[in-house]
Amino acid sequence: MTSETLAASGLLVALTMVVIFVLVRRLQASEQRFRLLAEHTEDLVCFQDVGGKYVYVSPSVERLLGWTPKEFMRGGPTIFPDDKNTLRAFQERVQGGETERVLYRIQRKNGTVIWFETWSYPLPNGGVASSSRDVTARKVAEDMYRYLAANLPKMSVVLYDRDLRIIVAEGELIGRHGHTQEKMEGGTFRQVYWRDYDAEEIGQIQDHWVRAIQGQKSESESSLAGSMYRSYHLPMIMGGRIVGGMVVTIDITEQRNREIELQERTDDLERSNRELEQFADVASHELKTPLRHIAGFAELLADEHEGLLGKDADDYIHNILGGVGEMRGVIEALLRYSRAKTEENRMERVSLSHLVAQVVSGLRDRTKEMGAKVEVDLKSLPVVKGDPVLLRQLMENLIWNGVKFASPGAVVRVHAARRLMDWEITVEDNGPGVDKEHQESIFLMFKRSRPDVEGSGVGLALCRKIVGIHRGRIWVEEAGGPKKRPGATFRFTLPARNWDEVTQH
Amino acid sequence: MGNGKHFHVLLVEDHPADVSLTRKAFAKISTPNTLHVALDGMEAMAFLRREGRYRDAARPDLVLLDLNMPRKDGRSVLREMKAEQGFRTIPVIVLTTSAASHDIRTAYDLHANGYVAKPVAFADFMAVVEAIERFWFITVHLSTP
Repeated sequence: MTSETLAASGLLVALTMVVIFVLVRRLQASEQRFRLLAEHTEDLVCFQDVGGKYVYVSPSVERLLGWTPKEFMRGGPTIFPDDKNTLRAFQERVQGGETERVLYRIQRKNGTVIWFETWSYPLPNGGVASSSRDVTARKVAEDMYRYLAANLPKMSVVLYDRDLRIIVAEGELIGRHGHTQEKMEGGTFRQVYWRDYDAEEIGQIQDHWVRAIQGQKSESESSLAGSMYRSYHLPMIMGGRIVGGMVVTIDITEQRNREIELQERTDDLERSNRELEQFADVASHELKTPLRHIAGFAELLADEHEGLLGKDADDYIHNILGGVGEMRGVIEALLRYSRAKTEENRMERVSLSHLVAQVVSGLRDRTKEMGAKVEVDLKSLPVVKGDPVLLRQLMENLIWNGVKFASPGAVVRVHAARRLMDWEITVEDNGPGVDKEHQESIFLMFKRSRPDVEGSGVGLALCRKIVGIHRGRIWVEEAGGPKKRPGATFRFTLPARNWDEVTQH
Repeated sequence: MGNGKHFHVLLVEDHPADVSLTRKAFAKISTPNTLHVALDGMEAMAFLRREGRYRDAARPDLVLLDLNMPRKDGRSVLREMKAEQGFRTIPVIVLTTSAASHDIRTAYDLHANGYVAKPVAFADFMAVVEAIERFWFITVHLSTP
């Protein structure tokens, strides 16, 4: 051996010693650090050997459970009986090499029971390291939330982490479609739902789940085994971070069925209304032809044979002609009623003061003949959106009604007032008025309160139809009434609207 | 009146009562006329084309046409007449029960020369026939000599 080699090997030994020294110091430091941590942590830190015997218990055990470390190492924890099996299975898994978490109840020295959460790690020497903490407060809060979610009717709540793994599944809907809470919690989206939907559907639903953990809220609807669900997807944000997503699902089957039922009923109603209109139109046409024949031949009979058949025959002929005239009035009114409809494009800006002025001047001769007076507060009448042809019929009917029923000496007054959402237009007269029992029925077809006054029995039905088309209401107030008003007071409403809105159409 | 000319009117009408009333009305006017009757559109076209039993039919100066008839309705008759050189110069007055705006519109679209809703009262119908007489038999010159 040369001196160089000797020196070299001496250096090698020295270096090796240094390395060992450093390593040992590090090890001591880390053990010291670990001890320091374990001694001062709020969690309970324990080490157990291969046989499960405690070799280290941190001092925090005294604060957490009431026992000193020594007492605890001697006696071990007092596990709530129901949780013993859970804990045994847990320990077996850890000894088998798994890092696991378990939640169980433990009794403190003073007898109170608390919820404990333990994380255990297998050690290379076959022992187990564990850290435990009191999670009673969290558990109680979680139980409350679960209770809340579990008892929300026809709903479910699912919370999941960023890997789409379900953390919590609660609610009345969870048990449907073969799922159980136990199988869902801990499972991933696809593991849980793959059987419920086809590939396309499941892709779409997964998109909603993924979007939530990207911070987007969304809604989806799905149907499963005859039930319909609406889901609200939203990010689960904790401490300012998106830690997962949340799905709130509501069973909307009943609501949807009601909607469908309502739609069907509306369709039926519209159809029967249409049929009724068509019926009135067709029937009045079909009635007109035979009526024309009866009228024609009765007139010819009167023209050519009056005075030749005897007085009785002349009477009969005149009665026929009288009946014909009456029936003609009814048919014309029916036709007017069935034709009273409007296309949206006939709705326009209508000045009621202008329209009523025209109606009154059109009725002037007939009004004068009856010795009646019509007074209109023109300034009070608004501009409305409406069908001018129909509104004219409406005003004409109401005013003429007043003139007819209040004569002789009729005074008909027309005025309007603004209500919250509507204009209220009033046509009142000083006649005998309408009894309480007839207030509804006078708006029905062919309901005539006064057979002595000429009319078709369709006028007020037509008025109600026209007001309805304009989305208003019409009614008559009791004669006398609470305000002791004489005569009949007809009022109807028309929606008041912002004109800018209408002119834009 | 009507410089002694005898007018031929073709009434296309399926209802016998209407035929009878129209006959009565045309019998009451002073202008000499003959009212020919076709009971539906098929008969009307046969009459105009002088087919079958209408071999010796007169060419009408005026056609009164009902709209709703079995087999061939008034609209088809109007369409065919106005499409045929020989017939399009014959004035056609639609005389029908309907006063519906779409029926009126359709009739004029098909080049009807007038549209009259049959009045219920005979006196009113008489006034219509007299108006037809005054205008078509007395006032205007027709294409037929």
